Amino acid sequence: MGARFGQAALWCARRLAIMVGMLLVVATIVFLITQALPGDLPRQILGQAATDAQIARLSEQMGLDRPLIVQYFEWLGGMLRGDLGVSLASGTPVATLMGPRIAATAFMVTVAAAITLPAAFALGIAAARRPGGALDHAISGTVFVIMSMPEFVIAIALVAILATNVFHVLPATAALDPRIPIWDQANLIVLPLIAMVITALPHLTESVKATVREELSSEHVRWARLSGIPERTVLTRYALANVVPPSLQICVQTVGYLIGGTIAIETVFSFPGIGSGLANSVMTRDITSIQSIAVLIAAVLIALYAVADAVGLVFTPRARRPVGGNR
Amino acid sequence: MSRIARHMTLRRAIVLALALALAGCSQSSPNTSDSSDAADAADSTATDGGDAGDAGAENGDTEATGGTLRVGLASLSDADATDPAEATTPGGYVLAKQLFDTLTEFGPEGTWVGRLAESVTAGDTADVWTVVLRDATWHDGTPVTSDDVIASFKRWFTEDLPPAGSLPFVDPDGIQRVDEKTLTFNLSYPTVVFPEALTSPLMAIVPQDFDPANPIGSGPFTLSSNDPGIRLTFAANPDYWGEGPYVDTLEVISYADGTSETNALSTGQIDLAANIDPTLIDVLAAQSPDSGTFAYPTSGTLTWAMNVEQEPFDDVAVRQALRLAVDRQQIIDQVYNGFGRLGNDYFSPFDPMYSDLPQRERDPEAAKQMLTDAGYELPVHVELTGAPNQPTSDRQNEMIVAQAAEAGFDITFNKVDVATFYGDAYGTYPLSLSYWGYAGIFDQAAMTIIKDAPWNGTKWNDPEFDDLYVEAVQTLDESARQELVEKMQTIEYERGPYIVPIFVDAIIAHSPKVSGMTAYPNTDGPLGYNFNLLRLAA
Repeated sequence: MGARFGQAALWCARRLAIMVGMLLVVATIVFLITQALPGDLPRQILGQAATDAQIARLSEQMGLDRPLIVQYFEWLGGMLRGDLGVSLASGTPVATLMGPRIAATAFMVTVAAAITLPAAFALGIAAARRPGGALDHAISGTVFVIMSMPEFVIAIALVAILATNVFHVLPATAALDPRIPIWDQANLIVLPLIAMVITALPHLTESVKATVREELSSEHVRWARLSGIPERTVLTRYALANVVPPSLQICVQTVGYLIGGTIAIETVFSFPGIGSGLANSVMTRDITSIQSIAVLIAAVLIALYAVADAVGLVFTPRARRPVGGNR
Repeated sequence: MSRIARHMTLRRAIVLALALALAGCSQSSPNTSDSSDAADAADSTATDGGDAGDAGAENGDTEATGGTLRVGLASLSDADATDPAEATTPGGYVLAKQLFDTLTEFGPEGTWVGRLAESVTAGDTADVWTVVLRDATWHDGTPVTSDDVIASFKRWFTEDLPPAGSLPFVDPDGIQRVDEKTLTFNLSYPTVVFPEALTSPLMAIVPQDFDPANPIGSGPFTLSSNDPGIRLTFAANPDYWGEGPYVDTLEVISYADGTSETNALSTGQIDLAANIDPTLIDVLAAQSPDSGTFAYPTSGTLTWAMNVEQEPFDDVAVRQALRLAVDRQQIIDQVYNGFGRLGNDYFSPFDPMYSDLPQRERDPEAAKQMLTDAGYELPVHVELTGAPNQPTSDRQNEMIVAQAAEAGFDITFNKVDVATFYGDAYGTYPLSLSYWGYAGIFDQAAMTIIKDAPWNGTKWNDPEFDDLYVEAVQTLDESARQELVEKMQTIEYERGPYIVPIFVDAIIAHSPKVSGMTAYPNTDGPLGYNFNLLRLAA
């Protein structure tokens, strides 16, 4: 018992160390890439009318004239303390500036995931149970069509069909008022939510379908069926238990896809979220904002993967044993 | 970033295609105007510039007051400054115009008029100017005084803020208080540019104890809330000295681009779409036949700057040949959907002294001949650097590539994003597209082409032109000045460094409830950002 607990603790510690390591690597890459972006912020702020002296003075005020390594450790230290830094473009803390945007995107991604994940599992399992059936074909066809279109094309088509050209049932843009709770402006977010679900759903459904189908044709399921166990029990007890761990990874991937995909979708709908915030920061070369948001998103994804790993572990005891361990 | 930018262009194409295709599904298709109609409509507002306000007023209740006016703008940014002297973004200009007043402004006629100043008059020579202020109050109720004006000017110079660079002739120690409402400016050298140079929103007057965190001004609105990059909310200043404001609340909402603004307008989410892309007018007509558009010609231009320190533009023959290669009318028709005016390679068409030189026409054969005569082997290779600094920039750049190919040029278009464009390499591009204008002849020259001009992107330096400039800005007699100006513009026409192919129209789309639309042809931004003039019917 004690040994098993120790093993679990060791596993957790190793995982945590890997997570922190990954985050450091991501942070370093993000820092270097943003530094390498052509064009600089003082020039952006002062515009084409700026003189060299004005640019030099502003660079000094912003601390951009210090050695890169000093800027790096100062920023990293701040991130480790949970301090996202101060936006260079506006002079306000990134947390204050991006707070409402982070909340808005988190809300959208959560709602979209809450719709997408159960729907994808329901559809995927239903399709897998009848390979070659109508649902199976419909899903494969839709996946093919939707995956071949960029998110923004789907978003634009939705706007044309549901808001501006054919039916006039929904507002075309989602320019939320940040001073009013998002649920009080729910009509604004329907279209972007539909767009997010439509773009994320097919991929996950297809993955669930494939995993379940593979599982249903596996040896142990065949054995269970031959033993006369009812199909319903075969599905829930024998097949799905093994489907959960790989599917969790795909679920996290889907959430990551939703977070990434919002950049395109937020732009189409002028939704004031983290995606359009990031796009704005890139345009103004507000490097502290870009760095902090990028690392924050990476941290959320890495944490989600860790959670998925941990949950998966509960379902697959085998994985807890050390590699090449005793049987 | 470039991926996003590419999406934008592709998006526009898709939106257009979808909107026009789907127009058949909606009832609005009969109202879809073709581009020539749209251009004619613009012409009609254009010809009676002074009455332009009436064109908008027809659509709404001219007596309406109150309500919340929602304006869509592409785009607000985190970098929008509440300090007018540091405004460089559309959002910064919006803030400057609502919260503050400049001493002078370019009025609806395109010439300068007093704003916070009741009068600005030269003495016997152009180096002494007297400014008399109106009776105006700050938002906190205290009066605007000469001391505030002096403090505003001194602040620009002691803090080295951008206006200082545009006012080389102002000596901050030469400003004298005469009384509470009167000041005398003793300039470093005589210039008639003085009143025009004060029209920029950056030169708004602020109180002596100005604090950008709590921006108190004398303008038509006060700032109620500021969500950077998302939304600005203003409340009417009931004690404003000037016209309006007629609405109680003004909301300026950030949209990613004109397409989103158009969509928001058609679904009633905003009342006014600030400056939309000319190609979106057809989309809007298909989506929302009730909405109106208000277009007027401006002095704004997307001009090609030819760097005379770089080959091959160090040779005047190449510059003139490229000017001949450009088909200006085709650019207006195809890039601007008819919403533009012909340019003739010099600036400021709303300046009363704008010269009437023969319109340069496209002549690719003559261009080739010029190049060959100058000893060039065809085609002449040129690198063009451009960024989407305006929605039409990329398309205008693509157009010159095609047009110049028939005139002996081989232009490579190096497309970069805006931040890169204005980055370290700015000023070194052999050929690039810049957004300029909204200034009088002298101010435009002072900023861009005279000796030591702060933003001389073309590095052009012509002593004969400089001498004429110096003489003209000291000449108070108007007819004598006019003669000198014609000589200046002739030099620009014959050997200048800019191709000024077109002047763009400002295009505002609005709901039928909005009235009070007024053209400000010499001011950047929709209606010169004078939202205090707008009314909203219930």
